[in-house]
Amino acid sequence: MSLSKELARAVEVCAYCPSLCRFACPVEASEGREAASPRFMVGLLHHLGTGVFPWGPEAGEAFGYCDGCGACQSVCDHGNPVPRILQRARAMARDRGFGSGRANRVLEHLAAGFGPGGGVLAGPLREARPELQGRAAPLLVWPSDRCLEAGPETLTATVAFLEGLGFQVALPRPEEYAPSAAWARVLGAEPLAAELGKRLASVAARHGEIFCEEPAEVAAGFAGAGSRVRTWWDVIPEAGLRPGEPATTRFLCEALPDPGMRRIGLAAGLEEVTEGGAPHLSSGGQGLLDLLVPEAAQGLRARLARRLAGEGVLVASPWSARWLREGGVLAVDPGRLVTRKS
Amino acid sequence: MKEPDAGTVPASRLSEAARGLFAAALGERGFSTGALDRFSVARDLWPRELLRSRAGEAPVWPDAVVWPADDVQVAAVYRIATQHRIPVVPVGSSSGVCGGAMPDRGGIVLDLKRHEGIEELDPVSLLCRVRAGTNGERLERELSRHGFTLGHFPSSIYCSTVGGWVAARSAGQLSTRYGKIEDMVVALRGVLPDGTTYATVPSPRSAFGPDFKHLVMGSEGTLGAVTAATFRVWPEPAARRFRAFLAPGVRAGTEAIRRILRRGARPAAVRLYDELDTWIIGSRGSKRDASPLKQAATAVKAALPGLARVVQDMVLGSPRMVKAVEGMLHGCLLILTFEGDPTLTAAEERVAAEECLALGLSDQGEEPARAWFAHRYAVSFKLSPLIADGFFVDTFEVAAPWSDLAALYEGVRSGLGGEVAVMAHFSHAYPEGCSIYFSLAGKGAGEDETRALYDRTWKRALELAGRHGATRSHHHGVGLLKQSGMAGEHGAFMRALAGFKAAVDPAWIANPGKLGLPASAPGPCLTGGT
Repeated sequence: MSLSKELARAVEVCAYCPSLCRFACPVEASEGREAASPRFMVGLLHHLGTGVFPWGPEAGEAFGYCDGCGACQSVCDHGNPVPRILQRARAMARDRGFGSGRANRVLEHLAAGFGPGGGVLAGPLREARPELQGRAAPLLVWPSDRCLEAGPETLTATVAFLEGLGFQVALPRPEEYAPSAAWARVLGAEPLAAELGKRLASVAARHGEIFCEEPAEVAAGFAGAGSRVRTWWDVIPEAGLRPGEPATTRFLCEALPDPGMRRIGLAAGLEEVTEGGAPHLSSGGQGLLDLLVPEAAQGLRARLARRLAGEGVLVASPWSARWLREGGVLAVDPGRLVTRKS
Repeated sequence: MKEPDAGTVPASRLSEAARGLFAAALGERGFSTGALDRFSVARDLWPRELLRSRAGEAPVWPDAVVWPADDVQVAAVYRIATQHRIPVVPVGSSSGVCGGAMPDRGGIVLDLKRHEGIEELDPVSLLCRVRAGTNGERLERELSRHGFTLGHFPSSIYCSTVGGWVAARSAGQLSTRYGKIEDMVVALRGVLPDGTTYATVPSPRSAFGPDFKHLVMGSEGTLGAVTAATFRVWPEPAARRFRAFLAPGVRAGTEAIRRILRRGARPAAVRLYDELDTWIIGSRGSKRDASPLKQAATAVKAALPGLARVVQDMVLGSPRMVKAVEGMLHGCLLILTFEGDPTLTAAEERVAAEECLALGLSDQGEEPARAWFAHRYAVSFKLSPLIADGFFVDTFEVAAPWSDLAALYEGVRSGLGGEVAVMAHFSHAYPEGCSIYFSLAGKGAGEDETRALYDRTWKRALELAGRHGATRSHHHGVGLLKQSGMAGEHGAFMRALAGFKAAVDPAWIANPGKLGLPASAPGPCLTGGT
């Protein structure tokens, strides 16, 4: 695999550029590391080509810094497609055996479950691909907490899987996830907890309004970062429900058996809350929406789907995926991709 | 393209003892001897290094990279480096264009990017303390959120940091209004090479002995690292006005600027492009856009990019062709912007217009200045495609009194124009003089010839500037590129500088071999007994 003439020219232009996109890159801002700057990552391809830097595991890791948000491309006078170049670079690294070790392992796992190239999943994704052509925004993978609790490999593999199918993928950095203790633990990001609000601001800047179907504490993290946030909790009054009453809360906790809801239940004064039945793949929105007046929920879903259809693609929980698809949005839960196999 | 050479990664020369000390002081996340990190900071943006990169030549690799999170860690780095006699090169975003931020002797690159952010904003005193690793554009956006501006807008603002501005005595595009970095810095905090920390008093002025800030500003890491700067900030301008004129030539244009400044007006931006620069860069939005020559060039570029590149090769690669094109061009565009209080800006615009019209400049209205403002950083994007096409491109920013300016301009142009394409604009104007920003482009028959042409051009350029009584750098600094001129420009003060350095840098580890200072400590007569 090599670069097209167009991409090769873009690499050369990047290699001699003063790194004018640096200020826009959220990864560079959070890493504070030259190797994570877009210009260096792209320029590395030039140096690999001249032999000044050798192909090896470090090169493979370098290309993995990019989260594909496209902020660099949006401020580049040349419009150099940095995310696309680095997507290609990651594929070149994988071809040489220098892809991320974790991603390689889970890719094997995926191949075993779904067949080479993604098997049954590849079909619908490929069919959806024409819809994505010409989109300014890449796929935005915003995984559920269940997905995260399955381990960071799930995310890494999912991104690699989707890229292998030819998609551009954007992924929040670990530091950008909502300040859920569980998520921070899973991602090994506890030391960064104090910085989370700041990081979230950069996510909000890139993606605009955030819809959060996660527990209230998570939503509060987004809101604290200055983002516009709507949650199911905002929808409850619209639906004629009365949040905070013990009966409603108990029902929610039973419907959403996860630690976040348990904490909410306990905070609401319930004496005992069952943490959950069997592990589920949804991040919790389904049970909550069941409580809502269907028309209100439907209206919200339609509005969200329209917005996401215009701006990008959300890969979310399977239940969310269903109504997002109804709005013309491709949506797949990355957790499901892996967990279905296991 | 060369075949990859698997043996291209030089091993870090740091001793185990030094590694242990750095790792203990900075933690796992703050210290790296990994190939990727070392390679990523091995070069700055000195165009000569870009030529070497283009030719597939390896840089000198540093032995390690450190990312201190605070002043305590910066001081620890310098103490360990002094103890083990390891060179330390502080960097922000490595956007210097003279080689000053290159670890050309190996050692430690002290990357300050994680030491970033606003520490304090005092809206009453209009002071803002900012950490050295803060990116310029991010700083300006954050200040804007609070209704303020620093007023420092270098072309590199997207890719440079506060520490770099101070270290290299930076100047921004609106410097005539807001001043240069030394006018903005009220106090500095930093670490001397022996690990001693310092913090100057943030008073508006002081007569309590010499102002040591001015020794640090422009020292390019040879006297340690700046870790934070307290700046004067301004309320965001309530008004912004734009005006452009076309001068019949450079002399009339510079005379107009001189008269505007002499009357006390302080435009934010003052930029006079010479004929070639006006044609290539400065005429966006002006009535000259309608000229047949410009229209033909634009049409060719849009329709036949391949042909446009051939024409570009012919023109920029042939100084004679440049002269021929120049002969067809007439008029120099003068861009003026004004910002601040509405009453004052209106008055300044009136003063400027009176002077321009009195000298026979033709009024071009607002549009060319508005267009420049909207695309004021675009020029930085234009250079890399030329390098990718085999050219060298560089800029030479000198300054001189008004009385010497015309001779300096003509002298450098005629002295260099025989071999390379030369164009210029005049900016950063003062009542007593002005800066000239020469853009140079050339191409030899191959990489070796191009590099020889580059070296020859710079040697000649520095000689010419000195001969005409100009300073050899208005705001890019010295680095490795301009070292040869330091002794000539500073004379006996170079000995004093070396003595000061020896006093605070006993192991001579702070960016050694830069700024015209020797690569190793001079004799004891200079060190004051250290």
